Amino acid sequence: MGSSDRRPYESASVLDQDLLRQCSDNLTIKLEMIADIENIGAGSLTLHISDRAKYVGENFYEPRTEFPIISRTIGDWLSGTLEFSNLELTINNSDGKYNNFAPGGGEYTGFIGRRIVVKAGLGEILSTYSIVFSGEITDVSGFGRDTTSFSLSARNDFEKVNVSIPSEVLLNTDFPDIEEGFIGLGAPIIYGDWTTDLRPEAPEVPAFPVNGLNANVLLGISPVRCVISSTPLLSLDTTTVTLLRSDIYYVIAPGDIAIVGGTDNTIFDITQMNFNIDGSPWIYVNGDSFFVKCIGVPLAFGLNSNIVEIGRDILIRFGGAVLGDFDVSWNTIAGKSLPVEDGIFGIKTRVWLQEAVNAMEYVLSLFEQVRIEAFVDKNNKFKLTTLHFSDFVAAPAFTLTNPRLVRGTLKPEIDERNNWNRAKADYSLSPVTGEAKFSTPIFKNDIAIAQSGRQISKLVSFPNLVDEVDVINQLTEMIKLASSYGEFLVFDVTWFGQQLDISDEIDISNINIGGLNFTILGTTTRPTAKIREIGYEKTGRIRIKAWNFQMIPFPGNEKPFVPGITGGSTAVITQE
Amino acid sequence: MAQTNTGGYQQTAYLAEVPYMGGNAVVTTGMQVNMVTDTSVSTGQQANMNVNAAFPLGMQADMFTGNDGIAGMQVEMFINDLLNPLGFQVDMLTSKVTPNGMQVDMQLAGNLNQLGMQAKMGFPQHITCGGYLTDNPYMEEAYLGPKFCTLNSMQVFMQISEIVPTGLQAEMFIVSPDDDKITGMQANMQIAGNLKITGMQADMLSVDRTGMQATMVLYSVETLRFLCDFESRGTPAQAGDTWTSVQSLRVGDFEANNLNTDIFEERTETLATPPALWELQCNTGKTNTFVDTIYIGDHNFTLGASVIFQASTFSNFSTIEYQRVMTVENQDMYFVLPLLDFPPLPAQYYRLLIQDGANPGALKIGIVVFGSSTTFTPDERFINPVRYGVRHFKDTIPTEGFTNVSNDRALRKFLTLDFEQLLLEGGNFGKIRNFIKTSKTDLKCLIIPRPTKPSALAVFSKLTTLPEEQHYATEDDNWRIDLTLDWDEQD
Repeated sequence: MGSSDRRPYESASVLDQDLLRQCSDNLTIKLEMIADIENIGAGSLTLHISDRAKYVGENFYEPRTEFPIISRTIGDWLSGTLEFSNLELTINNSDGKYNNFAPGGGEYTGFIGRRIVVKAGLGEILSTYSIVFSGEITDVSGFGRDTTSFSLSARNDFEKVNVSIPSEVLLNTDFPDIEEGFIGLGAPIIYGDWTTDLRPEAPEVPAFPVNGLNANVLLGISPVRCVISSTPLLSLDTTTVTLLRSDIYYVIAPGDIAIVGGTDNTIFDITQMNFNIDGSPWIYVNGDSFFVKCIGVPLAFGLNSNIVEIGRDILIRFGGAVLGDFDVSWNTIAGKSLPVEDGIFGIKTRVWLQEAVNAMEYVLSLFEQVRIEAFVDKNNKFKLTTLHFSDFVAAPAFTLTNPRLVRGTLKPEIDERNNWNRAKADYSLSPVTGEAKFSTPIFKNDIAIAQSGRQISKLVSFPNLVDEVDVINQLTEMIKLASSYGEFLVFDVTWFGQQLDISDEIDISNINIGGLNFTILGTTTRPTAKIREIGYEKTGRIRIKAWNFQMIPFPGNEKPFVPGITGGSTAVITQE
Repeated sequence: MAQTNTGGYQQTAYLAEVPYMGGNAVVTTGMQVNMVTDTSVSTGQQANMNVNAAFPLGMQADMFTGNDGIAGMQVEMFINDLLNPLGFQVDMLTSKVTPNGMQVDMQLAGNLNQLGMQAKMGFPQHITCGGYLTDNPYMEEAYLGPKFCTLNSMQVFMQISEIVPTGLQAEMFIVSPDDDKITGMQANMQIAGNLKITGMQADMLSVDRTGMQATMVLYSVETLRFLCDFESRGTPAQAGDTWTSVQSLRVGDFEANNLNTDIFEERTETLATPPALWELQCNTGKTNTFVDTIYIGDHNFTLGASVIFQASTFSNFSTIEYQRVMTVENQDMYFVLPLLDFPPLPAQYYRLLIQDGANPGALKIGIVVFGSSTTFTPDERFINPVRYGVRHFKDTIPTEGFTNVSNDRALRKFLTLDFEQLLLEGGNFGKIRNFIKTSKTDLKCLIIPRPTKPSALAVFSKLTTLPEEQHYATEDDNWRIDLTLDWDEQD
């Protein structure tokens, strides 16, 4: 249907799917990109750069760069690696205009850590522009130059929050009488409930003595001081503080335990010589170990064991994120309680972390255990999506049709990495051993095994989950997904898809992907796909990598008439 | 080129309406020399001579008398003084059956490309008969302006057919390391503002017999012109800071000096509700700038807008030296001075006065340049056809629906001019060389191939490449060059 205005993009104030449709009716648009490089030079200027001379709002953008393909990704499911979205910009400085900001220039203040924001929109109309990339210039190879240009390399905000944690270690500057063996240990980060689901013999959370070289401590005169964590504790159970000496556990009397004031339960003193070991009053010696029961960081609304809130707190507390950085999906998914297998709200999670890891990578590893994925969305917010069948969209609003599919670009790729049909799980990491305490039975998809003619096994780790029921629920759901026909579709769409984002689902029933398309069988068999990577070209072309759900049944789209289905929500997973 | 004399110093109210010794020619080619004698000594000589292009004789004179018996030569002579009817008498006899009347053989040094007629003419005789230092009261006449009385003179009208459009060719080269200090002879050449003026008009006066002072202005509105040196950009010391807007501008990167950037898109813009009168002032930084070409690019004026360009020697524009009323055209508009001011009117301050009450929003201008153009002399031109057009830049995406979709980018003009047989030592080739030396392929210049209709073919652009010259160099005095100049606004 044609629009009476053949060039509606010239007067539009909002760039939305309806406007894209109107433009698509006329086969033309004026979609452009701009970049702001912030806080440059002594005057903290913003450099306004584009691939063409243009205004957007009040700012003039100089034609000094060629925009590369700007891609964002959610990474691979269960890959265990964090994938950043990168941007490489080369700025033309052949006329020397920016010499002043370059090394040796009068206003040089460096480029590392400066933010680059790339937006796309219509012509000069500021209100139509939205972010397609935002990130900071990296400290490694983030800035380079030659005689006519300089180059900038930035990563999205996963990089900004991906700091090394724990951020605090035990030092003799803080604790002058600390023993050599404890110096440099990370001060642990603790979340969740460490009062239950423990090893039977004793509590599991270590407390580190930090004054073991003090003469009075060694004489038993002064109390032993112990540090539990660098993060505040909601509570410390003083009735169960346990000493381990020579493989024997001794529960110390609550009266001998004194929480040091102002430490949020993270440091306590133990009065000595109030009980005997081998007939003598206990006096601390090197090698004595202490274990406690505690509840970790107190989180809002009492969600102290909620995996989403734990992840959010890590990113805020250590990564410097603020509440405004988080998309509303964090709230939605944190509170999700049904169906049971997808009930994030009720899944008990806990964290004890001492070895150095990067914050975002750790958070993603948390979320992976409950089939949640995080990414930076087009609004530059941290956003969550799930691989829960219950969240898949049976009839997506965006329908991909041939006039919107770029000619010759569609290419199906088998997802060989996430193709397995038999698995077991380890779960509940013990701080004492550094290993999971428990394992589940083996679960499998017999139909998938029969179809492929072989068992493809996998051991899945759930170090932060505590309850076996939760672990088995997650494991079986993962098998249902992994034992279906896993396939990616790689293709380009016209600028009609400019509003698409990672995790969006699209209807692919109207394109030819090399097999039957099932539109004639109704919405319950509509083939759909979920976007995992998206790239923006300056031409307006959108590059997409999507997970093909054509062979994956899920609620509302059970694909009852599709032969050869092996996985999906309707798959039967049995215990071996 | 046809030539029509429509009057002049001797043919209008005598010595009254036309500048001294000035001829009026609507279509003037060749050479016009008006020589004037005082009416009280009204003898002199008048000759009308026609050269017929079909019979390219050096000189042909038809003279008519009323006597059937006279052969060989026809002379028509009009002597106003009936009492003394012997202004000029020629008796010529011939024994030929087909008499030639009068035959003149002129040999012009044996070159192959001589031009029409070569004439050596003595200097007209003038005496001063009053003026600044002579008349009483003393020194109250025009400063240093003598009065002249001409003792005798000659008026010659020469008509040269278009097919042999040579007439008189003058090649003048002044070589000085410092163009600002040319001495020896100063020539201002002016071609009156007629539509088909070519050739040259020269007024020459002898002042107190102290040598020669000649003002010659060669100016054409028909030939190619370049404007690379923009007076509007001011002096180096001004560093591009020449424009101010009297009225408030839109907040943001819309300052008035954006008019000085070569980027069309970097513009100046009024508030969303534009002023009734938008005044943009330009200080060129020099007291003696001259302007014959004005370009306002990428504007959004309506066709009903009024755009006036004014010049002043005062920064407050208390006195206006002159003004040009510009014709508004969509997007790009030009002004080419049709007739040079004489004497020229230098100024330092210029302003644009813009009224566009019908414009629904802010007034916008991408670029303004003005200055004194380099013009081609009329004897050499680019050849037809001129290749000109507008390119549409867009990103095209093919689809599986077998219909491409586009992402619009920009429109850009391009222009290609071919030149053939330019004389090496003719002025035009030198101008092209200088233009190339100045602009290379990285400076935008205003190129107006046809100043009579500037918007039809003009571009504000860089050369895409430096041209390859094809030289026909076997003869020093007939060394000619072919070349092509190519501009593209996308560069």
